[in-house]
Amino acid sequence: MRTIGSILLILATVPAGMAQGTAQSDSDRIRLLAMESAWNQAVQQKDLKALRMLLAPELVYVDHDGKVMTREQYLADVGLIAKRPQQVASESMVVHVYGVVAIVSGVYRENGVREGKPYSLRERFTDTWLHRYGSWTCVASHSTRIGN
Amino acid sequence: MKAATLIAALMLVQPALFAQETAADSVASKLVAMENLWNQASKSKDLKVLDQILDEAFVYVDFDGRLMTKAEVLTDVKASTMDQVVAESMVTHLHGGTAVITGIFRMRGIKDGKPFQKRGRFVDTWVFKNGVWVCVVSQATLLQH
Repeated sequence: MRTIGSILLILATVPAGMAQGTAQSDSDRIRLLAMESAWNQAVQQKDLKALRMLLAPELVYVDHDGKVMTREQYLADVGLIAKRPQQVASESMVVHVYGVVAIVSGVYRENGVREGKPYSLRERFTDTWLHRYGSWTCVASHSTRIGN
Repeated sequence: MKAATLIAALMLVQPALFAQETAADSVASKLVAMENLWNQASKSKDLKVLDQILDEAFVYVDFDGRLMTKAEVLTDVKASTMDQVVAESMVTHLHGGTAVITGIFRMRGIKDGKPFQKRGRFVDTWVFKNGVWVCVVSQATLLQH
């Protein structure tokens, strides 16, 4: 399934506000984990259209070097021709939902080839998601490199 | 003003007042003040103030990538040998009752008998919860220069 199709499916299958209380939080958690996975898939496939659906226009992205990027700068980085991610995955993810705000923390792994040389990244990340206009959108993401 | 009094003044914003407070600048100023208070409380090991600033489910990722709970952060602060921690270049991104603050921190202290200095980027997310702003997540990454 193409990434954008996956995202539309995620957005459509669990209508926001369908349930209340714990059931709502649980459905939000499931949805957010699926959106994190869709994000990874979109990075691997360089699907910038899918990424625009997941990331807010005002996204603040801080990479493992401490560089602050806007959404467009981040998308340009993902789209670099010289960079070819071969495996992108997240693990140990934990979701905290605060009404219309959610925090997802986890460990991100990426490996691939950049400018002809293999690279491997392992990072701790925290993402801040906001529920607005009927769907979740990521407004902040921060990564810190950790050992392999 | 004592830190605990200052934090009370900063945090006890009535919901009605918040609703009327249309100027985002006012909220941003308040949050920057709370960031500075957080640093002050970390330096002076004022755990009572930190307890009020940080949400119970607070998630912290330090510059080594270590994931910590609120209780672990408070224990860490208690054992800390920092003599200076300051934040600069702070920018607040307000999304209604949620705020994302980015900035640069500088810390200095002594560890294992040797002085250390660190400089890094941080991102903190604050949520307006039960009438007060609390920090729900904070992450740091070291800067090389």
